[in-house]
This record gives sequence, structure tokens and C-alpha cells, in this order.
Amino acid sequence: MNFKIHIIALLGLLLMNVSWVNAQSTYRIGSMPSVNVSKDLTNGLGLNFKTESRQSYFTGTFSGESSAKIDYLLTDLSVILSKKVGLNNKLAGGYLVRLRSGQTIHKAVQQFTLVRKYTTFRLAHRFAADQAFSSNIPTELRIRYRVTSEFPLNGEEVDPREMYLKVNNEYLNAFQDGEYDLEIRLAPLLGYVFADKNKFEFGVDYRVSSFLDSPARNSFWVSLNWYLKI
Amino acid sequence: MNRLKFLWLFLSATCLVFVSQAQTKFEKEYRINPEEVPEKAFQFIHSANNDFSEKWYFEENLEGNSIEAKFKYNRKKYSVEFDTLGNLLDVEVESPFKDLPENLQATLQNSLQNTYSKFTIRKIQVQYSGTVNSFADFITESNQTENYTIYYELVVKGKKNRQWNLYEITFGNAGELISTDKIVLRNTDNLEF
Repeated sequence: MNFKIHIIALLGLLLMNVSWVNAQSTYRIGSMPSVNVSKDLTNGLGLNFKTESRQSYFTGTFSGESSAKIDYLLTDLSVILSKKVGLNNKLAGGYLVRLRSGQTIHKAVQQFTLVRKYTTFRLAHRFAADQAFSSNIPTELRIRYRVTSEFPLNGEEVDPREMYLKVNNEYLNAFQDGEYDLEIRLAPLLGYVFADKNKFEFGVDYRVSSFLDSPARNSFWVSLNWYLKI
Repeated sequence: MNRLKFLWLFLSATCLVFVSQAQTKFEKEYRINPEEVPEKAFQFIHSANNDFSEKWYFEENLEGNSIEAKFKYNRKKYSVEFDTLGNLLDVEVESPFKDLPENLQATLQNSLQNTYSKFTIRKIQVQYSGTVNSFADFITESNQTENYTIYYELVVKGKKNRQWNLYEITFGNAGELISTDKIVLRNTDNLEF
């Protein structure tokens, strides 16, 4: 039942989003590959290392202006320590550094995840917050919620050498210098399990922001994610 | 910016070292078409003259392969397992705890309370092994308990030594403990990060 309500709410949100897109809305198309390496420690502790980069290929507005230019935008490096609480829930905190041309941003990250296995799919809720600090931009606080659903494409469980569909839907509330913005993300991804500790995902990560009081900023990232457990 | 690209490529490439260390245990279940099911198994399910809209699965693991039919009937979830030749292995029916015999409920509760400081029963399957001459009779419960060996398979979320885990626990017909297996949960990294 939770899943059906979620899908209906998501479709409603997507239909609403159509009205946010107008001629002045901007778009960016690029790629966002990431590598995610985890290691289990003792006593329910775990470490996660992630590196993610972003490249832009096209930018423009929906009125017809466009520009094709390959830009390497940024690299994120993060390390997160997690502690298992309960059966499959984790409390985690860590540090992320964002390297941009001419700018380094430091972020403190906190998150709590709840994962539940249902008969034919898995559902995860992630509640997170991050605080960004940089020498030349005001501190930014973000409060985030993400729901993730994973569906096997064969059978009732995702086994090794099988594919799955994963859908991420996230809401980010950003507060910076007295200003508020809401970003919504939707990412359908196709995944392949080489082994339980080795997975690869491919899909599109769509993000929309700044739509509350100005033309929306839309971005479409080709998402390539590799998950390894060592 | 070239340094950033190099750094990212270097970190990604070092992960290739760990790819070869992936686990090797093999277990797989996948959906099959009714045409791929042994005739014997297919006829057994349909001898009840009901359209169950069953889903068929092929299960591969190191202990042996099997074929399973899963369907819902009269608000109950059934799982009927066959060998690859179509011979019946067992029938499992999901059951709520309150539908179990009362004395059995008490026995199971006591057993779990003695083992876990806290627990929640997530699922109960009643497993019938033996000769099922009439599947139609079986699912209409007109002759369900004769000549069968009955086991109760519970999936329990239990706390032991301050740690929560998921267990598959099998009890006999009288509530005697047969076996306890810890369920290995699948990797959730791609759901958390």
C-alpha cells in the first residue's frame, strides 16, 4: 500500500512539474559518474567512500537558446561512517569535499536510513542533512528526504547476474543567506548485479530547482554508479 | 581541472583491484513461462480446476534445482515446490499467527521468548510434506492434515546479545524446535548512498 501511495504522489508531482517549465526555464544536460566503496567494520560499524564527478555537455533555455560545450564541473570526495541500529537501519555521519575550478567547498553530512524488504521489492527511506562551508560563499544548510524503491526484473529477489529497476525520489530544502529553495530529484536507474558486493547502475537523474519564485532550473544527468563492497 | 580529472580516474581505477574479490556463492531464482514447466507439475496445480493465475519460478542453487508455483487463493498465499521432473516436494501456505492452533501459539511464543530478548514474527509458512493425492481437496481444506508431515517455518526479527537479526526458524507439528538459520541480508549500499 505504501508503494501505491508513493507512485500516485510521484505522478502528481510530475504532472505539476510540467507547469513549472516555461520559456525562461533553463536546462543543463551532462553526465555524473560515481564510484561507491563500502567496508563493514566490527560492532555494526561501516565505512563508505564515494567519488563522484560531473560533466556538462549542453545548456540552454526552453525558449530555444542552447549551447554545446564540454565542461568538467566538479569532483566530490566523501567518507561516511555508519552504525547499524535495529535490523537494517543505519545512522551515519561524514565529510564531503567538493572540488570546483577555483573553489573548494567542505560539507558535513548526517543521515539516517531505514531499509525494508517486501515480497517483491525493497524500499529505503533516507533522512539527511548537510552543511556546506566555503571561504567565499555563505554557509548553506540542506535538509533532505529520499525514498528509493528497488524492483527485481526477474523473480521476487534480485539475484547475482540479474537486473533490477531502482527509482530514487528526493526532496532537498536549502537554506542559504536567509533564502530558501526547494530542489526535487527523480532518478530511474537500471542496475545489474555482478555479485551481491558488486553492482552497476545506469540511468537519468533529473533535478529541478529555483522554481518557487523564478524560472525553474532543470538538469538532466546521465548517472553511472558503481557500488563495491570490500 | 586536469588534476581533478586525473584524481577521479585514479580513484575509480583502484576500485578495479577489488572486483576480483567478489563473493562466489551461487543462488538464483527466475520466472519461467508455463510452457517451460514439467507437464506433471502443471497438471497437478490445475487438477483443482481453478484458475490460480500462478507464477512459475525456477530455483537454482548448489543443493539442487526446483520449480515453484506461487499463487493466492482464498486470501492465502501458496507456494508449491516440485523437482525438475515435476514430482511434488512440498506445499507451503502462509498463515497469520492467530490462525495457528492455540496450544501451538503458546508453545511457539515460549520458545521465542526463551531465545530472544525482543522479537517480531514477520511471516509464518505452514509446510506440508508427503503425498498429496488431490490438490483440489488440499486447498479446500477438506482433507488437509492426513498423511502429511507438517512443519512451521517462521521468519522472525529477533534481538539477541543486543543485536537484531532476521532468522528462519523451523518448528515441528508439536512446536518442537527443528532448526534456526540466520538470514543473510542482501547488500543495501545502493539504497543508502
